Amino acid sequence: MNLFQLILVFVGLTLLVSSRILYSYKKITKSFLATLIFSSLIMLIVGSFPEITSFFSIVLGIGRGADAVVYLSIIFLFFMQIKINLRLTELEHKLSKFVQNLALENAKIPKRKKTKKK
Amino acid sequence: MSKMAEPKIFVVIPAYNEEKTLAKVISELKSSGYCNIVLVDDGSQDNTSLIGLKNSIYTLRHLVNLGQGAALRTGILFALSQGADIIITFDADGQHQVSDIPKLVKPILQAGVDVSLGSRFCKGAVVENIPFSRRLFLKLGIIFTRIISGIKVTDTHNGLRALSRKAAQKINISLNGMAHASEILDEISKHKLSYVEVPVKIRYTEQSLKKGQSTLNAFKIATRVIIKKLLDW
Repeated sequence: MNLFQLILVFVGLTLLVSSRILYSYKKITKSFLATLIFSSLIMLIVGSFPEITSFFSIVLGIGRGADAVVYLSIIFLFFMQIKINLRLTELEHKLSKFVQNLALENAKIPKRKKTKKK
Repeated sequence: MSKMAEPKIFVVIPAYNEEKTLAKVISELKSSGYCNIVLVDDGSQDNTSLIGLKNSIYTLRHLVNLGQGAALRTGILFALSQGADIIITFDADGQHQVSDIPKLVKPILQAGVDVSLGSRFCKGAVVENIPFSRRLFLKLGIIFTRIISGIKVTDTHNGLRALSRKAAQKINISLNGMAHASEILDEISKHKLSYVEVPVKIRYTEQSLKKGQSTLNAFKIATRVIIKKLLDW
């Protein structure tokens, strides 16, 4: 096992343990826990049996197994980025609506004398 | 819109940290007889809200800064709830002239137009102290809007405009930031609202230049408009 494999296995194990702890403290949702477990298992499998990536490289038509892992990781990160952006936009909309409704509810309406209006 | 005997005109002022210029703007509006003034303080850290309260105008406050588009949406919704017939959007930094309001209102009242858009570049308009870079970006904005919305106007990012009640009810401002100006034009095109451009006078002050849009922001605005267009599509 080379140094890179060791790092991958270590990161995978750390992620697996920390995701379980975070879930037990209710810091993450069930679906996010599943994503983290899935990611850490991939790290552990690829770290322990790197030759498995050759299968993907053949299926995808990419030269080396390691390249296939890098390309798949980029695609995964890209989709995660889109997902996070969509979530942020949704939260921004909710916050805007909340702040605006609050502003409308608490509008200060002046008391006025009767004057000629335009 | 049919000719109205005494239309209820509401002036909506979105403001963010505008304590230096706001009092003068309100005073000019009031002295010209516009008493339905709606100030939307967009989460300012200064005394913007206090100025509104002291001047006895409708004062609404966003707890956090959302952006000019959101402030306008809040102000327009409030004005509609108060029975506004015509809604004027007016900047708080002193670059707009109160004397231009009747020119914007006239086409709505007399010709039944839905939206009057102030323009600093059409014939008869006056622009004071506009920097070259600002002029260049505004011109690029015009080309961009023509491509995106297909609407032919000479000034796409002028905050001085008048909306009939019908137009205010139909136009949905969903973009919080400065991209709302392009979005409004897009909504006009989408709902097939009638519009005219009215030459107005814009006076760039130290305050308005300080708070103006940076080059980076111009790109952000363009990106937001394109994303929204794609999502709507």
